[in-house]
Amino acid sequence: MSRILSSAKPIQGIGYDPLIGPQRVEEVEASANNSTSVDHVTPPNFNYDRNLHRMKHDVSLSSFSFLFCELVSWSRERANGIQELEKRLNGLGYTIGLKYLELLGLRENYITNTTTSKNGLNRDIKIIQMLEFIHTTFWKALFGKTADNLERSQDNVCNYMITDNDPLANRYISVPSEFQNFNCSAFVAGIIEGMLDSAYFQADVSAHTVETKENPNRTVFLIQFDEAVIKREQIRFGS
Amino acid sequence: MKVLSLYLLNKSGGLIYQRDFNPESNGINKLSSNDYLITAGTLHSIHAIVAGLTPPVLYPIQENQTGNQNQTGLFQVETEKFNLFIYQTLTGLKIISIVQKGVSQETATRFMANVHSIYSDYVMKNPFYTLDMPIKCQLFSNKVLLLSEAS
Repeated sequence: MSRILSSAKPIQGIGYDPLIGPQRVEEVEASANNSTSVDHVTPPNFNYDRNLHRMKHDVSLSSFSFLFCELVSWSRERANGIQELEKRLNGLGYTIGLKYLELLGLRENYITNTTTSKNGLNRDIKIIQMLEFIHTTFWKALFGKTADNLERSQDNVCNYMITDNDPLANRYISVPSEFQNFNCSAFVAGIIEGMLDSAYFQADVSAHTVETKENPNRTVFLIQFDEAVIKREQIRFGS
Repeated sequence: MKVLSLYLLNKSGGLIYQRDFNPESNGINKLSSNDYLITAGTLHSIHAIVAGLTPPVLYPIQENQTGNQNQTGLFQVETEKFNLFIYQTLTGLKIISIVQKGVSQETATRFMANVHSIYSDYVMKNPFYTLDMPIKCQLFSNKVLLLSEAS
């Protein structure tokens, strides 16, 4: 696929093809009118020129950290108190989550289609399938690793927990003592919440620091599903 | 190598971080917090004066240089018991380390360069830190301690 893109001769009049990705239309006419052959320069490495379906989607950790740092301080300036700060970060993540599920589905479908003969991914309709999708696929796509633990709460049937021992968003952030119980991963929690919502699993997601000696940043993402979701699951699958 | 003490000074000479390592067997006295501020300010001033004394012809400004920018200022103070090294970054942050006698200048500079990289990770990327203010970042302290033990 990438071979097509990097070929020097642009294909004319194709525009955007979702299977191939964006096509760069260059000034072919100029060279066509000229009798002398013009050497085509391979397109520069713009993000827009690259295939949407490439396997690697890497972002520099430093640029992410600086951007996220500004995001947090921007929200902090506008929030009165920790609760509101958490809510703001959550809200910022939420809008990403809504859209990200769509993109992730598309990408995953593409990868499974090309690597196996299966007919792509199915949409997850069971809670546990959806959570496993978040725990492995989503976590890998965003953070390059799977989450460390996925468990169901003993006390409440609606509650599930995903644990990350060293969350990327918190890696460089030490929360001062006056901001007790605040966790910057509220942003990631918002992304998860948005994804679950757009997949019709209405839920509240929050991030909590549960530190251990080895992992001072260990974060538990608490997912509280609506009772209606649990009920629906029971009716459908009788579990 | 054994690092006895580490100071971080902002570009106007204010002390933003001070730490003694393994204070029990240290061989360096603890001062009052006010004295640390005075020490920092004095070193900063001497550094500036020495830099002013140096004729600029001898040290043309090098472009695209990273790492230790301390070209013309006070570089090292030697005493009977310990050495003090000064490292300056491009933005004017000063990293001062007090090390045991016998530690080479290269080793000390490498240590301070590592502190600089930890600083730019764990302090600069922390949204709760205000520029030029005292550093109160737990992760930064942890990393600096690990580094001092490793080197």
